[in-house]
Amino acid sequence: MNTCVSHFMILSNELRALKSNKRAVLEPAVIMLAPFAPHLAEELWHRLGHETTVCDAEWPVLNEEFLKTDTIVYPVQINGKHRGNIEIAVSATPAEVEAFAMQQEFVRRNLEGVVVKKFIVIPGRIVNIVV
Amino acid sequence: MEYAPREIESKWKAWWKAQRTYQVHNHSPKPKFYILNMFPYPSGAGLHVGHPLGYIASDIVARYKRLKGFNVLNPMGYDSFGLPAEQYAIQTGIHPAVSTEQNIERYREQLDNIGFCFDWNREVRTSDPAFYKWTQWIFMRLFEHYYDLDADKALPVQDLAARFEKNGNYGVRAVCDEDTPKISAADWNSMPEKEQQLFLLKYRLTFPEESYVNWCPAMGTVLSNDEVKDGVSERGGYPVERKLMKQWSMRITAYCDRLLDGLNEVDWSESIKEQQRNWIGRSQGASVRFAVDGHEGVHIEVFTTRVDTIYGATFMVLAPEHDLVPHLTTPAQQPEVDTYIKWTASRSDLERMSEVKRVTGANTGAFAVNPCNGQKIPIYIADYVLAGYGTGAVMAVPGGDQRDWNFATHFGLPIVPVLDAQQNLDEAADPTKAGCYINSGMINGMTYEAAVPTLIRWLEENGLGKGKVQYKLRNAVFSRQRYWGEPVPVYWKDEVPHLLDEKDLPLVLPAIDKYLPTESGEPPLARAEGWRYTSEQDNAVHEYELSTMPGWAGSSWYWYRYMDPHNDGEFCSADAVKYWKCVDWYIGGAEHAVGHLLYSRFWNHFLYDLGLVPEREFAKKLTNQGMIQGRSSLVFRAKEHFYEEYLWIKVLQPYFPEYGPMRIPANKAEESFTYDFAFETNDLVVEVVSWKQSDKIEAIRKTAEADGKRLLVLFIEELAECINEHERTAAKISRALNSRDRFFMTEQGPQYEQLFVSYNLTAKYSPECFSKLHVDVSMVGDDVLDLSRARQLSMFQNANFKVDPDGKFTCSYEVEKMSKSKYNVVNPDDMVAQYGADCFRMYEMFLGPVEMSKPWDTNGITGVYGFLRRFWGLFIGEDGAWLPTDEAPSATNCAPCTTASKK
Repeated sequence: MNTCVSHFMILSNELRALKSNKRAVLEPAVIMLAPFAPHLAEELWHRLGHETTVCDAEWPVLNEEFLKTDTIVYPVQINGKHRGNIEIAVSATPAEVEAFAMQQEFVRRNLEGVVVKKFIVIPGRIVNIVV
Repeated sequence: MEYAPREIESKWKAWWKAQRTYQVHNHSPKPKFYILNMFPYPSGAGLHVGHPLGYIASDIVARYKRLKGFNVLNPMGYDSFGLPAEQYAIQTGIHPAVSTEQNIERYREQLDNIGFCFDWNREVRTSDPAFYKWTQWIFMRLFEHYYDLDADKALPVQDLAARFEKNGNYGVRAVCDEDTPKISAADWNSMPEKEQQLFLLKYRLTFPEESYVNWCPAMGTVLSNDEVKDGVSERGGYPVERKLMKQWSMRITAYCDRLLDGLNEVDWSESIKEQQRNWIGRSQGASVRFAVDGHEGVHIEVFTTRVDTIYGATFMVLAPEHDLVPHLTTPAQQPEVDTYIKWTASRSDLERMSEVKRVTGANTGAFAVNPCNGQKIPIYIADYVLAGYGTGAVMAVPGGDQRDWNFATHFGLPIVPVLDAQQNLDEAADPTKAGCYINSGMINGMTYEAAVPTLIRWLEENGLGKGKVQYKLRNAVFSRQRYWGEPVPVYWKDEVPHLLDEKDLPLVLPAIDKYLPTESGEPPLARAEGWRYTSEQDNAVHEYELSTMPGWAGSSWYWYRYMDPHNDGEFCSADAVKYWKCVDWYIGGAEHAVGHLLYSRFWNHFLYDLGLVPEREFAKKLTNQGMIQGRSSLVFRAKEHFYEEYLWIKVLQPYFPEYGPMRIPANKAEESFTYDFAFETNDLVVEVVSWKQSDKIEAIRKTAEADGKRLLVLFIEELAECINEHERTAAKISRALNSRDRFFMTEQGPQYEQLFVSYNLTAKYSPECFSKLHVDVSMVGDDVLDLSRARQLSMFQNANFKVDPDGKFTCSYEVEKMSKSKYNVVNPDDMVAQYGADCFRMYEMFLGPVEMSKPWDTNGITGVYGFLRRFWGLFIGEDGAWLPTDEAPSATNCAPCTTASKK
């Protein structure tokens, strides 16, 4: 439960950073805080317009959709050595990833004067170029 | 608008109360969840921040489960019978019920402060007659039952008597006293009623018996094994001795196997399970009869888990209390044996078993005969063998048992190997079961697997022993010679105990004049005037049982009472128990591993046998919260030696390098010269001494005069006074150097007597310069002592403080048990007043995993407070504006990350 407290702190900081004051985001946060800080949660719950206790609220359902991000960062290795990262859409195919990687300045610089033997893309994980 | 916890919290506390937000119902379409804290003993000291840790954790789980759609029972009550209230009553004459009530009020106030979701409507108190009526009722059921091994459950004693009538106890497989004789139906039927009743006591699950107990003379009562630590009472630290007394006992041994097997059903920590397994201590072995040389017909029975090592038995050890000791001891050995027995009487079982460093014992001068090879081996007594465990006698095999090895080495007895795989017996015992037997007669060359059945068969065939399962667990003594406990619902008639009529429950504690045993040594209840039972059975008046129940009686079933706390006709209605079943999650201290947690399981199994409860195990899951240790603050008080070092480091070295003061070593024989600095280019000697030691000052003067030296006396009180102004001391020395006077002394007594040195400054000095003293942690923040508050304390009345250059006085800290004497108790009320209950709750969780022990450190609480302020700030702007909008959210809901981390 000690980790919950730290997660709350992270959550609160993230929400601040996002300047997110949207009710749909804050309301579940109040419910989740209620077991830990029931008084504060009850106060905010009522200010959010509820008339019954926060104790009988419904625990928020985790929405997997929200956890998905649109882009992904691939580390790029040349002969097993990490040379840099590329950020590309999650949906990109291996061919698209390869094409995008070859456009990158740091990749081109490292490949000058050598022959690419193999270009390996492990989807969602890593790009490895063997020369 | 700032986050203002005080207003918010009092407002919602009142609202919850008015709305009955935390009232729990026994009927609900929702699934049930029963979370329970071990209820506290309401001590006079109130709660410190360590106590609510488990309560907060369970409160969070309870609220979480409720949000998840469960009907949650999270009750609280008080284990309100106990020794401290009785001790207090003895000292003050105040009835324990009165002081207990006051303590409960204080507890309640403190608990309410923290905002728990307890349903107080369900509060229970073990000392409340409406509660202990049912503790007495369960006792009566135990008295009425015996444990039948064929049915593998408790059955009515009435049925047993009916079986005796027909067949005697032949064919009855039941748990009973070891000395129970075989009787025929004729034997039984010819017994007078009284004899029959006494015979049945040998089977009842609770029964009076003569047994060795931990007797605490100072408290005038018996203590259970888990209430004795290191030979003294856990509470109060009074000496405890072994004494034979008539006591009520609980036949918990009947449930040994079920208590062991049940551990596989529950989600408890392995360490608690292991402690219970060891405490029960099941072992497969054999009992063997050793004849005694020169005593025709006398046998010593031993129980051994390693009958295979019998050829390696080179001596025998009896418990000092063993019946045969007086008969066997030779006249020559009598004095030694007597002295040893006397010493042993002062030690508790636990202490005796856990002693590992010292080897003690005495030779009786007698010899036992090994039944397997006829060898004569000496008989010793030693207190590592317990009278109540097994037969109170041990065949000692030093080759295979370290304790026996230590004993043999100490007393110069032979050590014989019995297995070819045993290694280095010169250095230690080797308990291995590997290899083949040597020096072992009939089992030579065999392996362990073959040897054990061979030996047991041979022993059984020759009537010298038999295979046997044995347990370390003994029946639990159930009597206390105290006042403040449940009266036992029993009256005595013709030396036979009888139960009260059920309609006469509760048997309420009578009023007495003094809470002490009577002059004749009877329990306090003997003081109650006219306290007698009139039985409807015979219309006669009888004496009540005068002992009361132990502290663990009420706590062995209380969780059922929360399910149905106001039921006057049953301990808990069938409906309520059917709905709530058992505790889903139990939270409490690990120190109850072999006390409360074992007794509770025992009673629960019994109630299960009677069909009164649906689950064999009362608590499915158990979490043992860690201890919150105190973070004590310590201040450094200067001892005399400090002033010498101070003078050298801070005054003489920096201010008088050109004079080159000579430091005379501190180890000089004459104490008056310990603090002595002479100046090379001058005839001045500087002496440091306390103002209070006027006789010493005179001696110093005379010595200086005789040596023809000029003398400056610096009083440590003076130095203490101007400790933060080194130049003042330097100026004084400087004046003395430039003067022609022979002696320099202060005429007036300096103001300060004691000096405390900031911890940051102590590193330069040797450790013997200081004594460390505890200071109240409430006066310390970030290890800095609040000097203005400290000066008001008597310990600092005539004190000055040597402070850091920035004027702060720092303390060192130590992590230790939270206790009043260490001034490290942090009161939750103070925390709540300062930061609010929400912050306090979160901070307790923030400290670390609930199961872990960790120090309380107020320094981090501001971080949590900051979080709550920021969280508040997400909703309410600095100007008090309401910030939330109804806009549709973008995909930034990272909130679910907390969902997973729950539990």
